[in-house]
Amino acid sequence: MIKCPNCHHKERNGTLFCSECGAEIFNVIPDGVSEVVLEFIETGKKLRLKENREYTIGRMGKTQALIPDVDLSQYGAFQKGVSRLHAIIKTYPGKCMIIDLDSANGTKINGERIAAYVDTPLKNGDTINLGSFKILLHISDQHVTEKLCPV
Amino acid sequence: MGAGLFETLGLSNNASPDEIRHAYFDAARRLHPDANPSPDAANQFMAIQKAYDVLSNTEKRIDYLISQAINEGRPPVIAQAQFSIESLQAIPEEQYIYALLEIINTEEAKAHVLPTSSVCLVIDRSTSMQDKRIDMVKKAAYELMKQLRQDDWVSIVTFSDRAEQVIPPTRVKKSMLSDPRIASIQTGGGTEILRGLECGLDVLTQTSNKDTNRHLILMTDGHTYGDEEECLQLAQQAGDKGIIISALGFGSEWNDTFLDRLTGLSGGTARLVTSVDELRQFIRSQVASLSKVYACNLNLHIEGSPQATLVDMFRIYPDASPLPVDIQARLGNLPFNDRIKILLEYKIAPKLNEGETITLLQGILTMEIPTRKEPLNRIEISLRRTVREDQEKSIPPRELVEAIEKLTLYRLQEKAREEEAAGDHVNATRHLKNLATRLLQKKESDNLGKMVLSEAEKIQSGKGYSPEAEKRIKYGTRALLLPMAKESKND
Repeated sequence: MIKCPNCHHKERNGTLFCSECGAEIFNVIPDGVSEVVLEFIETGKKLRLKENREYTIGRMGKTQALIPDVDLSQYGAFQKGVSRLHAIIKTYPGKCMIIDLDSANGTKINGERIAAYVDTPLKNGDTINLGSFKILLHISDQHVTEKLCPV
Repeated sequence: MGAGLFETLGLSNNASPDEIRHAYFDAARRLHPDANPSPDAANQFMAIQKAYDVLSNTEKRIDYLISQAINEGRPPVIAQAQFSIESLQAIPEEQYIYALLEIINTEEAKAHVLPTSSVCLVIDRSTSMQDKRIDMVKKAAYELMKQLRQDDWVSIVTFSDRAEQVIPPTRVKKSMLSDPRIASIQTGGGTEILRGLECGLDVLTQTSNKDTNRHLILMTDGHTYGDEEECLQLAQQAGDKGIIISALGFGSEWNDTFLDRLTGLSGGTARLVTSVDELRQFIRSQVASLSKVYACNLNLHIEGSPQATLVDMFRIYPDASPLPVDIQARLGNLPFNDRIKILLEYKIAPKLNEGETITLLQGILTMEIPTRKEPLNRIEISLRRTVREDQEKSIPPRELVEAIEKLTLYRLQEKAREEEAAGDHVNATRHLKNLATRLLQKKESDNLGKMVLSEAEKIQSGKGYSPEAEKRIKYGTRALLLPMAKESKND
């Protein structure tokens, strides 16, 4: 049996995509020790992301069915122009990618607007702008000792 | 071309690109002049170079296989397959393997050998088809007249509780572009599909001719009651005669599961129609593919294997249609210089032994080729994989991965529908949300994703699917399987 890294559903050997959530499962790399941390610049809040996962980022609406994995509504996301489903961050050991989901106000990496629906690689120290919501990205090989809020 | 390039490398004719590469490097190491000074080795080294040059290139390999088929008196049609894994794992549990089977013809179409087509439109004229729907159907009928060539046959049958021939089999003429018999079709009555099918097939049998491709296009918006089994039997018989049945569904009331089965039995396809443009496009593509048929009535006879169970079979090109898992699969027509692609999913029995060879498919593909006199137009297709303990981690072929990714989405949708039908709103909602998340990640499926999301909300609040959206999602996710104007080249 193999376990889907996204939703932990068990699948038979040889399966290429998870039958529960549709995630790719044939290229799963075992968990390493590197860490991906999102720091919300204005509040200093930090969020640790697990490896080999996909996180949808956005804000929860009152009548919305799809809750983003990373919900920024409590950090003033609405005022800062974050879309409900703004972007996806995919994490791999030691690296990650961001995909803008054709958000209303766009996504910028270090001030440069990225194209929608395209996997854009991120590196340690990048600033991500979701509308005008700023996130600083930390990718490290060591464990971060600071207190982190759970996902 | 030299005899037996595959044999030169010690391979069978259906060796995969990876196996070819491995065999070549193994042989090259052994026979390289630096390592092996004998003159014999030098000659063999030259031979494997030449073999690898041809076999490692997709186009050259296909040309080689076709030329070999012609030399041996077989039709110039070849089958080749790609697999999700190079070799099966020697593990104590069950495993899955996927194969993408392609049936390829490389002959260019020549005007004088193109077959004539005979198309019969079978139109549901029940009361519910009135106004907009029947208008769309009439436009489709005129489009058909426009697309067919002068020598082609056309016929139109309408049905409600009974069926009548509106236009008996006729050679297409310019004047039919404004045929008043189409304009005067009136709606009224129920939907008895069996009546329409019987009449349509009867009409098509009248144009029976060895060089004519016969196609029935059913257009309906309703359920048929009590005659489903008889309809399926008819479809099976139509398939045996080489008549393909396609179906177009209007609105939300028609039985898509039934029409999928009905069309699948004869090698056709079922679709949801949402606009006149879509309908015209369908007619155009159907007529275009009928007009350049090389081989028709392709039928894959499948022999079972004790260790490999065929779980699912899906045609993903030229159209996306589930194929009934049975001892034979109707694959439709193979046009000149084109291909048919089938995705196969196998469940493999547990406890395989290292070195053992597992047969996934031992099949015979039969077909009718109007331009070939030989009676035996058949090719053998055998898909096998060896079991290996030490797996080399290889990346599955991209085309196969993409097809399975899309199939997974289609199945998520199927799962949600079944759950919702059984009253399990919680799981239906969850699966639709998961599906939406996937669809929203790609531009081409963004709109579909939004629709799925809004349906998930409706289901969550207990309102159920909105009419038509359920089918739009089904046929929308299915259409994702089609390679969008993408070249079907690999390597």
